[in-house]
Amino acid sequence: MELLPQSREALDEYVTLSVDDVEGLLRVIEGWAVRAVPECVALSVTLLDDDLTFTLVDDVANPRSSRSRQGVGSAGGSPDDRSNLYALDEGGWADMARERAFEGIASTVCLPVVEHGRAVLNIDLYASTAHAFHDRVEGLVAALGAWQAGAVTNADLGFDTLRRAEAAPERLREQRLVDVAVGLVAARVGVTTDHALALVREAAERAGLSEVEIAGVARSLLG
Amino acid sequence: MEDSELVVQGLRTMLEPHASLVTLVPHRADAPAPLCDLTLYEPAAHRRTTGARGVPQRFPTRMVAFGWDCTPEAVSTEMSRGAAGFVSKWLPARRLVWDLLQISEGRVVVDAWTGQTPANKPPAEKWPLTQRETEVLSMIASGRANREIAEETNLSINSVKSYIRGAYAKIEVSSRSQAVLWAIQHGLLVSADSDVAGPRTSHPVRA
Repeated sequence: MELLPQSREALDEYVTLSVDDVEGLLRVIEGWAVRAVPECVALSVTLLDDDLTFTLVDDVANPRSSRSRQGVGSAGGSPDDRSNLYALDEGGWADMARERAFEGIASTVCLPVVEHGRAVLNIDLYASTAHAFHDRVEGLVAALGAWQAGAVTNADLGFDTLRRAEAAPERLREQRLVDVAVGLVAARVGVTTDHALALVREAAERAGLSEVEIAGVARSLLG
Repeated sequence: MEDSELVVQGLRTMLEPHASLVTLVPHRADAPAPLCDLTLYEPAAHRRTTGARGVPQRFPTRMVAFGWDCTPEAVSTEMSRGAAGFVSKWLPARRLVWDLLQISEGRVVVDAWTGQTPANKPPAEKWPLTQRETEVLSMIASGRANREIAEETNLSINSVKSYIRGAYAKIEVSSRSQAVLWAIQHGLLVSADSDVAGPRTSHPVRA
């Protein structure tokens, strides 16, 4: 599978102290998922604390290696033609990923991972056959350390996590603006960053603006 | 600056070797404000004359708190009153001049060094970050994206992220906003428009 370009971009910007190598974590999950469910054509991992989704999809840029188009007719031009066209730009690549994933997804499972009684990750797996996860959820739960009672099948046949993954770079950009503004406000006002964040949120609410807009104002005034 | 004759004369002597960078212009509260880049004031004096909630007398320049009391409470009080920076009266001349130059260029600097080691604290620590970590942290504080930092430093993205994680661990912060705050408090904030690696401007500062 390949990282969605937006997920690559988001991974470049995302830094967490708890996991040194988020892409490595995604690859480990991919390995377990594909071994347990060979029909798996895509997977998404959502970090719930940061509200960030990263997505891996089957090798859509290489039509010969894709497992997701078994018996699916093309909707306009041959797959090879479209691959060549889409490979030229990132937006087209994402469109192609979605289009082919939609064509190929026949079943899904969402596996929450719980730590200390709190859900920290959602792992969404997508497969090309309707019964790919039948009798396999238990094995996946054990392999991925997920919470079996929280597993939900076929809840995301529309591949909504892909849209969330596409939005991740913009979300990280906005978070960066707010983080910097919060630091500036904390230094200027002489308060903790938690207090400064509350001030930024309060200012945004009173002004009827978004936190990002208020962050921009704060940075112009204090940066 | 506005302070006692003892402090003004002492500071003038300290700054004499740096006359090409800083010129000290004494100022009395009842006299017209002189033309200068920064105005140094003693926070304690203003608290005596204007009350704890008072705002320092405004000059047509940026106000810089210049005090003996460098406790976190004193620093946060002055910064919340709108000071452009806080510099300790315990600072050696060279460091004081450097701080004032930074502030005159628009950076927010808090340098509350006192040279004193509180009995219940470990000995003063040396600068905790490597040169690369310092550079990356200052760029984080100026709002740059990891990819921009990688391009400007010729580092790989993974190296940049590694330096960020290393810096966060050393300065004991867990978020970017805390790192930004730390960077400001330690004089690392670099304007997004300025050239990080470029030479510092050295226009003489009048204070």
